[in-house]
Amino acid sequence: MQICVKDLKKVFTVKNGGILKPKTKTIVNAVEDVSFEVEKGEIVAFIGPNGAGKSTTIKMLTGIIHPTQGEIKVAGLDPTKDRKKLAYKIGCMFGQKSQLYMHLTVRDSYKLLCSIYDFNSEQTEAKIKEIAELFKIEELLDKVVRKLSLGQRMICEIAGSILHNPDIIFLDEPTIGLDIFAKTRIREIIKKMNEEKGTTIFLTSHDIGDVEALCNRIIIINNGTIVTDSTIDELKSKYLSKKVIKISYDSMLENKKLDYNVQKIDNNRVELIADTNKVNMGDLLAYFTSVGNIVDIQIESTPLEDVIKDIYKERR
Amino acid sequence: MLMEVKNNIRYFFSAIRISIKSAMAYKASFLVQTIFMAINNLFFLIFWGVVFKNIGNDTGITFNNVLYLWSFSTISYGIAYFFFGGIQKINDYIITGAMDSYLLQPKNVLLNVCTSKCNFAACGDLLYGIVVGIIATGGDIRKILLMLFIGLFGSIFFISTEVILRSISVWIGDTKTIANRYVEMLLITFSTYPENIFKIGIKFILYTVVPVAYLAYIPSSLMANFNLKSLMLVIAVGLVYFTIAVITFNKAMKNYESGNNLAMKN
Repeated sequence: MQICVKDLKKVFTVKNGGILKPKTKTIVNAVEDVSFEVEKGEIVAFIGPNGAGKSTTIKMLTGIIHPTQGEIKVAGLDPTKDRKKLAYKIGCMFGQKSQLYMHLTVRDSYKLLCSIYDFNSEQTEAKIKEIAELFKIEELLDKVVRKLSLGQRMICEIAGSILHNPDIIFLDEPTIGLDIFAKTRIREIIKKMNEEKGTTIFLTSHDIGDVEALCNRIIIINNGTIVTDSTIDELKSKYLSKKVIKISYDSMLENKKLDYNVQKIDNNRVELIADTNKVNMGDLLAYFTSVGNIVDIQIESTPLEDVIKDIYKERR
Repeated sequence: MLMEVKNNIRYFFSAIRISIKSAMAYKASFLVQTIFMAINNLFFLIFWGVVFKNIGNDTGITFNNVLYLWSFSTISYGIAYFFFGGIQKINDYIITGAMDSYLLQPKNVLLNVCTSKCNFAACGDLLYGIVVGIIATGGDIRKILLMLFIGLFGSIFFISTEVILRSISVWIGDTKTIANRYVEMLLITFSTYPENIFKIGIKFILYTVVPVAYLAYIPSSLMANFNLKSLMLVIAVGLVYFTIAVITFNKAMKNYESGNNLAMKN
């Protein structure tokens, strides 16, 4: 077991008021009764709307902030007591924060990071060479960090976060603000780290593309509590049973009364939504074939993004 | 344990080297700030020289006393802010959530934070303090070495004060102004004026809450009349202040709530 979280709770106290107004305290339950486990080598998406408690949970898992209540074990260590030991076993990349030095080259930033992880000078040189080859960033090593594009910087940030060969990587919004090419590159890199080194990946992202491309499991958090914890396939079969079916005929279907709750008849085109758990798709297709001559048929699943949006709404 | 100390020392030198390299990315700015800080300090001494020459004094204070005070306060300040310039960033790191990066690394967080930046201008203070000290000692090597050793300990008072005042941002919000004013108006100002001009009440404060006596007054008297007890007192009080600073910082880190560091107006 790489990550084990039990009944985790984090309460923040917000002070209001001031010199002229009476001071009041508001208790905010940022995370409440969160429990889950992550096995070695899993890629887990930890998602939720803004303010759901994702970053607070990650910060507790990595030892940045202390939980109000509950137990955490990451790589067998308690982050509140073994912060330094844990730091050798985990790598973190927060999309909105940089660990590289803006005024230095990527190479110099990596050298300092290597000295933080107690590498000697030969180990440092070898590690930088290895990581540069893995991430194909040889030409970026001697560039000053502030002159890198956002995509280049993100790749260098991820490379910097795994210099010390961590067992677990926490990625908080790794593709935030990136174009499709940079996103694809970063997703390939994450997948490669997982496949080649068996690294466990714990990822938060608002980009469902990241989740679909990378993760085999999804944990959805909202208002500080976990609302769904399932594999992507389970989620899809549970929530993606509704199909949008669009059928085009060679002639107009004039005023025909059709079964199967057809939603729209537009000249020679029919559109309906069918729930595969309730309707036999063979019967449905046979029925619509009997209605006229089909020239085109499209069957689409509801986008995962819409499913997640619905889950957020359902469990609000 | 020994290995950890060795690794921390290695890391300290790497961090300092990187901080200086980072500062040297803007060489002109570095040189201008260093030179102007030294010139700024020089004007104060010129002022004192004019006072001694034209007005005279019957307090027993000599120009050499003033030279020593300036030497100790600027050497201590220079060491603290040039090598450990990150002390001035503690409140920022707490308020913006930038402390996260340091908490994620397997190093002592306080050391890591303190060595995260170097204040260019403080290099001017350090060089100025050494030059003034050489003049005050008349080039006596033993005295110069003693002066540097005590100056190193004096930096603990600046470091500890900054660490304490900026760490409490965790509980009371941004303490930047409080820390800046405290250091400028109390530590620096009082450490550059001779002790004899203050009344007993102020002296009491300068030997307790505002530790000016240990970073300037006692060290200056040691240069005229060395005695081991006074030296040990300076070291002991320095260690007490530093311990209080470490405890405050660690408590602050336990209560640190992080934040999402987007570039925002402040």
